[in-house]
Amino acid sequence: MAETAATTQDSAATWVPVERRWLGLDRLSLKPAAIVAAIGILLGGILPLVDRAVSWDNPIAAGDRLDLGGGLTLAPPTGWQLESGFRVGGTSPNPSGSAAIVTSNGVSATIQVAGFSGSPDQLLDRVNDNEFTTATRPDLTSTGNRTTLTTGTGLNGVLESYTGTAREGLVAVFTFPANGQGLPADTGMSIVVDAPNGQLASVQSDVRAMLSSVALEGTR
Amino acid sequence: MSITADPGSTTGSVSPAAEEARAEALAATGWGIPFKLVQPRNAMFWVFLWGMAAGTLHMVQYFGPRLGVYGTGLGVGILGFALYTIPWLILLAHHNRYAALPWRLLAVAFIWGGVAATFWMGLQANTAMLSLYPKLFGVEWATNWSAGLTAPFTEELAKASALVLLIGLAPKLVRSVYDGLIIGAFAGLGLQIFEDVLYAFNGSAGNFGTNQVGAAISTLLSRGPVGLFQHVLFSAVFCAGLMWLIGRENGRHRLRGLLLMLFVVVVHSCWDNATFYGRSIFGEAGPILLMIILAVVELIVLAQVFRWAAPQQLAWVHALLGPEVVRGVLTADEAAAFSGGRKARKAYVKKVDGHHRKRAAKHIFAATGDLTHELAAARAQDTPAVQHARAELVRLRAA
Repeated sequence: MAETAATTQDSAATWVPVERRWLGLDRLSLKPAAIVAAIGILLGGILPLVDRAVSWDNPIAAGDRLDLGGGLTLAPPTGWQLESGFRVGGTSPNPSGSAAIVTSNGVSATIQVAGFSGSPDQLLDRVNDNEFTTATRPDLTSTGNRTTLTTGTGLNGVLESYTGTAREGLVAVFTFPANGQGLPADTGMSIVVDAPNGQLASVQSDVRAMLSSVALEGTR
Repeated sequence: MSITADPGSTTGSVSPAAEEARAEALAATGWGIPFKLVQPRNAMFWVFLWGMAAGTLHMVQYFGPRLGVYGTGLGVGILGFALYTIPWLILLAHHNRYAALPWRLLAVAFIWGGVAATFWMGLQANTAMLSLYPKLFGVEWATNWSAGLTAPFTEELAKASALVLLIGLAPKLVRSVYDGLIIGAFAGLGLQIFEDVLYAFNGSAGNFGTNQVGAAISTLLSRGPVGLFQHVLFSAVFCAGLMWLIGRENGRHRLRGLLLMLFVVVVHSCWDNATFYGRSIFGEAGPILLMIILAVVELIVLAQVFRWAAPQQLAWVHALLGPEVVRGVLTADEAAAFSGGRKARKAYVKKVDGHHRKRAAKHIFAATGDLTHELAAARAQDTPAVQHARAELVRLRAA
């Protein structure tokens, strides 16, 4: 009996009289439901669409260098779009020294600087581990053609290409010991260049020039 | 009408006025009406399913691909913030007493805040706006301003959608400003916890993923303490304000509601741009100073919101207890002190002479709390639970 009474009370609490229904739904519920749906569509749908519709207009000019924090700088290819990061000599210094992203026609270069103790080879192994075990890039394989790289200021790093069914690119890394000035701790830097298949060749010389431009203040 | 089989009753008296006031309180609060989530005829139920599905999908898309790499950091983050949630639940349960909203309803507020508001709305909108600002106004401008001009709008709107959701799902239950305050707090807690786990996950990617445990713990230590003055408090005040704005409490105080919502947007912005605002206003030590000022001001405003929102709730409790006074289960003074808030109860106990009698008075209040809870749950019907709660008061008086 008690169960029946409870069930009746349950049903009564949410019972919708026939004259209040529209397509079987309670008319009174339509307005609040529309409000919540509208908030969701605005935040989850419209704003991302607006963002995608607005393109970047922050091109790298000749001579621009990026401040990567800790005295590390790099010159991206002229004409590429700076989507994240800080120029050397800008009004505000790089607050975290964390990352920069530059892009050009679907090719992106993501530059990361963070604490890391070890050799460039170890850092490259680590980055490969992170990149190639992610489900977004399961088809990528590193081509195993690891080579060394020396910048214009004599910094040594390592470089490796990768390929996949739809993407190709390269990973370059450098490591720097703590120097008591800009770099309070051992630091690693990775530059991941990612491109749709077939696009890398056209920017190869630009990318090489960018990698050679990596510099650390106080070393020359 | 007469009342029978009532072990707590000494007189069996009934006052039509007191019964009417109780009936009005029950109608106004919806106490005892069960909360039902699955309501196929309610359009809001389908919006709930849609929002949760979209939120879950975005959450899986966010964590899934990098789970294998940063799973350790995510696991530590989930564990740490699950523990962090426990004291919050105890605190919020304390404020949800007497005129309690059903736990299942509050669980919906929490999970909507954590999944739909965070991953369907907040994450998508924040990512878009943080990308739009530098495109429109330059990277350096965006560095200083964008965070504080993004989340205060997107996240407060997303969390407040939980309140609108529950008004739609349970219009008879979500009535008072106090209900808005509690639901807002739970939705805010949901967003805060899920967002913090997301930060722990992102932090794990720092240092090239070499110190995930340390990164997750560092997120816990940095986000945990400031969380005391952020999302839970923000949306409790924001949603209380929204209730006033939409005309609860007979359409009075709409302006108060609007100002409280604006206050939350401003303090949220100050937290998110604390470095820039703090340095601009106070110099180098500014950020810390600003955070301290924010915490103090927010607590003062929260206390005031409680003072504004509680009387209606307490008046309903008083009306619910009215017939119990007529019956002789409680004295008029006890009922007035119990429904007069913490200060009134303390003042009542203070006036009583002797340690034993003070203690007995406190026990009476605790048992009155039980009776209130049972009366509300039973919509004041004479259920065995209500009779037992009354009998407990009789037993305590005899002891």
